Amino acid sequence: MTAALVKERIANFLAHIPPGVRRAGLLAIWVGGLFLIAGLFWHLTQPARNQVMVQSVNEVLALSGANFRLDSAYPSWGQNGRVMQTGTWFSISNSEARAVVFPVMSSGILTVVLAVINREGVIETLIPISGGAVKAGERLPPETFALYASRIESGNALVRRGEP
Amino acid sequence: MSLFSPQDGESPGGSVGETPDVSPRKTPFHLFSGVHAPLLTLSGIGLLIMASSRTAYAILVLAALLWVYLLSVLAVGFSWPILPGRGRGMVIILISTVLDSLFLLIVSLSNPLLAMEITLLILLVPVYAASSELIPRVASLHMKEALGRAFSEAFVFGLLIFALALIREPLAYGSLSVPGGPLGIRELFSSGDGEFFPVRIAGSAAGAFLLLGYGIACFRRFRPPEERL
Repeated sequence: MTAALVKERIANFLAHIPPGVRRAGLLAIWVGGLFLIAGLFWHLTQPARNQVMVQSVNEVLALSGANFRLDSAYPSWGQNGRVMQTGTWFSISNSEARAVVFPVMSSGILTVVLAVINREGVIETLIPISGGAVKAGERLPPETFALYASRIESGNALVRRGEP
Repeated sequence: MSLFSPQDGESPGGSVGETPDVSPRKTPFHLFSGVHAPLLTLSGIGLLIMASSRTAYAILVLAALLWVYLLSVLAVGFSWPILPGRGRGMVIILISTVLDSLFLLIVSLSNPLLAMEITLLILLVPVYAASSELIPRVASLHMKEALGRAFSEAFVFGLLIFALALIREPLAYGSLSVPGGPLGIRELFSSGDGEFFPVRIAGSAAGAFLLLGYGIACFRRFRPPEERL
């Protein structure tokens, strides 16, 4: 089958499709294609983004004199979606505790905070790890942190339940 | 050469028989006045208020505006003949959003903590770009003209955000910042003790609205007479 014949058959096929369906199909291809491109970019770069995040947070921890370091990110695949929405979950080197890096809304700006959760599922420490969080952290009302903390602690329980 | 030449019997706005949605603009572009000024949109004001809280955010939002505007003009301009007639506006917004998400991806690979902080701001950029009349009208303009207008629209708005940030950040935080460093933001100078914030309200949305009010009052006082409605 030659290329010209294939082209002709495609043209014939398209000519038989009602214009409304053709327009809707073209729109669907555009929308689907754009979502696919963006999704592939974000999905394929996730390991690299997690690695960069671990390095950045460890740098901040070294600066702040903390005695622990992040090890690696928990894979979001297979986890409860709502839990993963709370932030990025990390394991801690040589420890059974875990850490969550999560954004806190403050005056319309997201500030980044690290929470360390001990083996009992209770938040031990909250460390502001971004420039905005360091500046704005002390202005945030404790109730705001309490709200985030309760969400993270219940999320941690769900993560533990899903572990083998 | 125009980017898009209407085919036989086809209107510039889409297929035969459809109402053209692209028409030559009869009025010049105005960022600050007129009913079509993008600054009047809610997304524009929201972006201005939030992004001007720190100069580091303002610099990145300026970069995002330039990235989204220029690449959107190029992408929409070259893909115009194969864009769908109906739903074209939605596809154009999606193209801008995908380009915007690529910008955020690049920032998150180089400065993840700052990327987390400015996610909301960066996501507002394509919404602001969509409120502009420029990108949907790209086909009726020459590429150089379209790119020039895109640059000026993005740059002027970005500069306005930066100018407001230059006032707000020293007043509210006693510092000036640029992107970079382990915390995501590097401070060029700081009041040091972290307790001395001369005018704290300048850092909040209320303070931004106050400053914006003064800015608009100045603009109304000094704008050229031909721009007065």
